[in-house]
Amino acid sequence: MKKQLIIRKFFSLLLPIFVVSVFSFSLLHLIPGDPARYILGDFATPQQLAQLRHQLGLDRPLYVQYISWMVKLAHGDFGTSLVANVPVSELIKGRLSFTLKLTGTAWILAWIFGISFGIISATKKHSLIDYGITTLAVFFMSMPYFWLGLMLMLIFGVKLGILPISGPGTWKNLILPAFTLGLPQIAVIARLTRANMLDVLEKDYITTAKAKGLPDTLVIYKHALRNAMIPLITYMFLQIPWLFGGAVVTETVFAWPGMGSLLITAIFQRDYPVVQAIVLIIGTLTVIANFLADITYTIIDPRIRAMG
Amino acid sequence: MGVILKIEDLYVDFKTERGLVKAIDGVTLEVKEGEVLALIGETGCGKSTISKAIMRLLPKNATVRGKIIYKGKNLLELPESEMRKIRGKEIGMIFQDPLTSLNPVFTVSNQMEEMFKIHKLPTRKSIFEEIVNLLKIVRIPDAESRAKSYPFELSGGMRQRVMVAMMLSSNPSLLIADEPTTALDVTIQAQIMNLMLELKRNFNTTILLITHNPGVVAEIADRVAVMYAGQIVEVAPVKEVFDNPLHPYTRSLMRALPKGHKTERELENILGRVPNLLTPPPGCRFHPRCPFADERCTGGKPEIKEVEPGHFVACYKVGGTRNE
Repeated sequence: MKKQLIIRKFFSLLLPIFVVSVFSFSLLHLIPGDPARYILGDFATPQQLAQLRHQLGLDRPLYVQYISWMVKLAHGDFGTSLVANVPVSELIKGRLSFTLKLTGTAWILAWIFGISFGIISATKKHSLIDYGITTLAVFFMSMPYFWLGLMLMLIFGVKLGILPISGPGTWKNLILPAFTLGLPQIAVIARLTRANMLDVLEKDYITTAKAKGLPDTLVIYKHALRNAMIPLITYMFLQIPWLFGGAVVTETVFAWPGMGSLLITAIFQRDYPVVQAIVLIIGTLTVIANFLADITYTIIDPRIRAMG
Repeated sequence: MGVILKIEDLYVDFKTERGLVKAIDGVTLEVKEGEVLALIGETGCGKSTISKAIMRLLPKNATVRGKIIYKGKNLLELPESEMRKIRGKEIGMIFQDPLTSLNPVFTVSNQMEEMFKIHKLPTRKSIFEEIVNLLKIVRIPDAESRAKSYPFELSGGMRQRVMVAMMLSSNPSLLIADEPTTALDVTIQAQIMNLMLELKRNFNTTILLITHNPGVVAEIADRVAVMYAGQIVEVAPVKEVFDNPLHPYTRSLMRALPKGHKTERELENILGRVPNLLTPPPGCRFHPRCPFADERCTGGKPEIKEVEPGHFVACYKVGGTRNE
């Protein structure tokens, strides 16, 4: 029963991935700008432009271009960068690991700190520390990534001089961008955890757990937290697209050589194959994240597991 | 019979946004070893508040005054760590709604196992075998696979049996059953009640049964304490309460009961309504609805006194002046 559920859910991924591919393909072709013009410069003659467009296959009808792109994709070929003239997969390969390192670190930070602050906030409801956490959470939720990044640079890089502010390098270089990306998520998760915990702590089974003589730690970390986490699990994966989105800005601010900064450059250069590939990858990861959210749900909540 | 639990002059107030709710107003009550004492009263009269006060599980907005003496110790003065050793081990508790009182995400055996681990209960075999054995005692069929089930896979009656089995695992001296059958349908109610009677006989467990169902009381209680609006108005052996109720409230309550056979008279209802506990009436809280009330009843709260052997009543109109 459980296997069937997973297989069924897996097949339901194909449609959204297809839609993502169509969108990532067509959106870019809808915005004005011409890669041929970008490559050849302002003084190219119309003939030269037409010839290059023909060479790149850009004069074919859109659906033909789409199908040929998909056929190549099926063979694992992302195409060739119009600007750099190297295979897109080469360009992305080096960048992907940087982006994953950044988003992964931010994700882990978000959950460790988010849940901890949420629990503290819920168990010390209406205390000074609860209000403090709430205020900070609202603040960090509201701040844009670029501003947060610049402020962290200013404080820890320039004023205190304890952390590097730009480029890749050691793990120290990861700290500021990871917190820039992670802080708003810490805030969101802390708020969600607090709300869910408060809700769960009112439940009858919590009274039962206390009436059994269990110590607070067991009541809170076993009986309450497990139930409070159920609604949070979806968010655990649904936030992944936000992280990728935030990574685009954060990587640019910190000159972090990930996919985000590559994407920004490619968009400005109208480098269609690169943009399409990155959007498709991020889109697919998002769809997979949703899939994982569904699966984790069934693992943590036996009631959904049984419904199959 | 010794006294296992003695509640002395207990007051419980709840701080709410609309003011102070004076939920329990000077309750004094004794529970004797080995008996089933039924605490009966309308919804909202403070029955459950008393049970939660005994377990010290009242919410933070509650202030508790008075004494709750269990086996010589005042529970209200125990440090939290000592109290935890009493909860579950010495005093077990069963709740009203079996559908919500078990944790939905853990198996039955996982939740029962905690009792053994926390209270370091002695086991002859493995903990799992002990759990299966307990489930068999409460007559759960196919106990081994039920132990591995999640609560949502069991019916309401089954879940209440699981609660009973869980609270039984430590063989507590006192079992507080807070409306244990209210959420169940009638046939299941009878089964759970019989189960509790059996346990009382086999394990000599003292039971404090909280209910608003006089039928349940008649079936299993030895003594009955009647509550009205946060006060105890009458305490008597079960037969006395039904045959010879003395307090005006108990009397009108009994007249409001269907007797199970056709009678000439219509069922009576008690005139007026339950007072708002934000602004309870002074003195005897029943006086606004009492046909016999006079100035004395509005002045001070009547003391509860023994008017016949074992029969206690809190009323100025009962006792010395009863036959006037």
